[in-house]
Amino acid sequence: MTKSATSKVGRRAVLAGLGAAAAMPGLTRYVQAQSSEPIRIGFQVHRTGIGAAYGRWYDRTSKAAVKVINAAGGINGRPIELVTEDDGTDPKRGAEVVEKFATAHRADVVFGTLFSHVVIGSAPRAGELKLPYFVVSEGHHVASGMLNRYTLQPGITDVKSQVQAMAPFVADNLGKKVAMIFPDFAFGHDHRDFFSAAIAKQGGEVVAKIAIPPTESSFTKYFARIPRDTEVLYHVMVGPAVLTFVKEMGEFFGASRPEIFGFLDSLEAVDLATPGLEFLDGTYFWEGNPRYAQADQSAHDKFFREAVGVDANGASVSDAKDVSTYSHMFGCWETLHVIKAGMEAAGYQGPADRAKLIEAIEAMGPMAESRAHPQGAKRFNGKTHQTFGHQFISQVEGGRLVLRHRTSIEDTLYPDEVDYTTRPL
Amino acid sequence: MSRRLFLGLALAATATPAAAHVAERALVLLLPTDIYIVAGVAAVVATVLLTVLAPAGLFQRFLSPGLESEAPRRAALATSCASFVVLSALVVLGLFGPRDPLANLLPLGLLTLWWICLPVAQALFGDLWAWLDPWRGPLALLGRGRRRWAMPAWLGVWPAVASYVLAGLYALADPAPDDPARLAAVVAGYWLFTFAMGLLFGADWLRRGEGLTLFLTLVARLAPFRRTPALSVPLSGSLAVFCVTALAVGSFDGLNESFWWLGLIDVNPLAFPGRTALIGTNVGGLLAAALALNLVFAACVYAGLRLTGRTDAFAGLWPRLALSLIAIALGYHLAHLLTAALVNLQYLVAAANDPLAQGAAWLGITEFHVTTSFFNQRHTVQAIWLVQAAAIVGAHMLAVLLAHAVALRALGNRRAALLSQAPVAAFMVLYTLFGLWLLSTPVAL
Repeated sequence: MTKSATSKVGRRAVLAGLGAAAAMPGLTRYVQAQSSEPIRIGFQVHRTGIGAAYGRWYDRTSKAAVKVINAAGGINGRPIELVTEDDGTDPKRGAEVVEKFATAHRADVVFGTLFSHVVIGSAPRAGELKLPYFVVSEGHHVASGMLNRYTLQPGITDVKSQVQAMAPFVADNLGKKVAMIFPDFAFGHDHRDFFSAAIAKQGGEVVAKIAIPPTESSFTKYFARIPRDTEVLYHVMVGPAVLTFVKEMGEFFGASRPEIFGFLDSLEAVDLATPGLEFLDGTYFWEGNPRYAQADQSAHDKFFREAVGVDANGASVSDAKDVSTYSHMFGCWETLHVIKAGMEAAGYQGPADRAKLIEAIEAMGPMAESRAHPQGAKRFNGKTHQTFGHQFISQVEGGRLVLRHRTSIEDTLYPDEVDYTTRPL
Repeated sequence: MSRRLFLGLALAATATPAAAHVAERALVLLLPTDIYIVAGVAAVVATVLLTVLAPAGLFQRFLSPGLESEAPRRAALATSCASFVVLSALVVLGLFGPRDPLANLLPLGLLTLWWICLPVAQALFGDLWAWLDPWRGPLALLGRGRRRWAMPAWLGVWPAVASYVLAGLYALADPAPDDPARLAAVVAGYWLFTFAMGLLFGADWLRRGEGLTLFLTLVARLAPFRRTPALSVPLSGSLAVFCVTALAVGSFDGLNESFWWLGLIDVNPLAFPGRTALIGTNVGGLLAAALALNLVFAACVYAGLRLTGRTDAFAGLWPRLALSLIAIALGYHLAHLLTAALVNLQYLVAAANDPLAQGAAWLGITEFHVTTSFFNQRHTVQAIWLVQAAAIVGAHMLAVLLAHAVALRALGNRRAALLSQAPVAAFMVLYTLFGLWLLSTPVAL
């Protein structure tokens, strides 16, 4: 396999960032001290607990990425060995697993955590152990500055950038008066706050913020609180009541509905052809990565699907009804490729080079769309440890998602809230 | 998953609906479960009415004649030794094999194959466990000729109650019950403890001290296709407590995932904090559930006897009626663990194909992807739900018939039996409602 554009860019950036004098000895040493010892990557995965449905696809995607990377020579000629530990989607257990990776498994780095509370529970331990910890979470916790120098999110964008990037499209195409329906806890509050600010910048306004208690399973009474002049309904319901939510929304509005926009997190891994979801036809969704292969599908997306074993509808090649978590799982693939690029740029030899690996990744900057980045180009912010990338807005059409808009990376940017590079390594 | 034997791990399975998929319960919420629940409860009520209307002789067939099943002892000891060897190999795999609980044959073999599937097989085919138990053979080999102590009669099956509850606590409250290394340590420790007790007290310990064995033995007495083993433990208050507690453990494991319960303990089910945060709650909840159910059941039995003025029969009738609850416990077991089994049995095949997770294909399977698509489609979700509901309803119907037959025999007259059964029958009807509600209510997965 040809070397990916990412790793070339990454290496150039490192050379620029660290200075050739500093980087060259490392590279030289790497050339001279080739070892066939595997690079051990600790894979902290939600095998059990509430994250298990995501964990299954994170596992499958990560194994596919490792296979592809190893087939192309691994990292610096060394194969990757993935060491899997289940964190039970449990923050405390997550910290214990990080510890196990460092001590019992002698992992070089750890990656893969999705659920925010597990990231927040695990990251401090990784920081204390000075163990590079690559999360694939979407949470704003990395870029907000609440974590540490050793925690990075280079393979998936964060919710703040996702939500704010929706505002221009919503304001220009769907309407400026938005009613928001969201679950009444941190996840929903992030959407409420980030989108309210972003739509205001577009000259729009949020005319109602309807918070639904997390244990609610009947929604009609909340729909009655949507103002009459609402042009767009923004929803981000999650959990087992989500299909009931859609059904009751359909019963409430009938044929005369406002424009409706949602986040696919609600229906990730759910078949859109499920009876009861017909009402969503014509409505819009954010997607992290288009579940259905589009007419202009890139060769990279095609390669990614084949490697993971996902068909053009985002379902498993071995079972067309087994729908993947396509909006999120690319993050594992891309993160593993960033680790590879970072290790190669840093001339990574072993745990003693962990700090150099962090610096190498902080210096990365732009990443081109490629096999390593099939979701699209990225721009990594070394100060905030967060990557930024394109977002997708799709419309449901006959039980499929059809891409309508691809945001620019600029749409997703916001001022830095932290500079991790000022913290000691 | 694991309860019995070996390990103590028993309940882990429950604890670990690894396959959980939000779409499944989302689709269930769209099913006309109200109608199903009414129909299910009506079926149990109709069974109660049947006991009023049908001839008394009909019910005696539900009480087995109690043939002592004399398994060919030598052969059973050999299979027991083989079972011990397999268990030891699994423990080694747990310690040194793949770290992923869904790729390691120890948690998959014990929690899924043994704990989820074996009780169901016992209920269908009889006491297979008598052949598979990993202690009897090694005890016969090593314990021969040793002088044994007699287990005091007053101990009843209390040690079995304790070990069953401990297994339940491990499965329900431990933060990572299916972590391979942790499970291996627990299994090895529990095997050694039970083995030591077996050396001291002989096979009596397996019958009266080892809760998972007792549960499997009791379940085997439901088997329609085999002669039923005689009850090998004395009827006593401790046996009654064991049966009710087994039902309570199985019920709490399920209830503790419901939005209702999580609301009660002020936990947001959509941001479930993880098992570690709920250790105390789960321990307290399980113990409270066991205590409450025992009190309610004993009160029902007593109230029924008061109606007939036969409270003197309480000590004899209470454990006998409690035995009928084993049918319900099995129904809950099947209903609650079915979805986990559907997914984890696939992982089991994958792990058997590649036990060290090094890319082997011992079964000749080169590409294997676990699927959960049956949680994603209305017709399969409906089919699964109906199987679960049928397990609950069928179990309660059987329990009603068993309880009536027990009362008939104990009290000797039909009117007294019917009257004495009224509170217990009401208990079973309400428990049906509870079980079906549990299948239909939103849960955190």
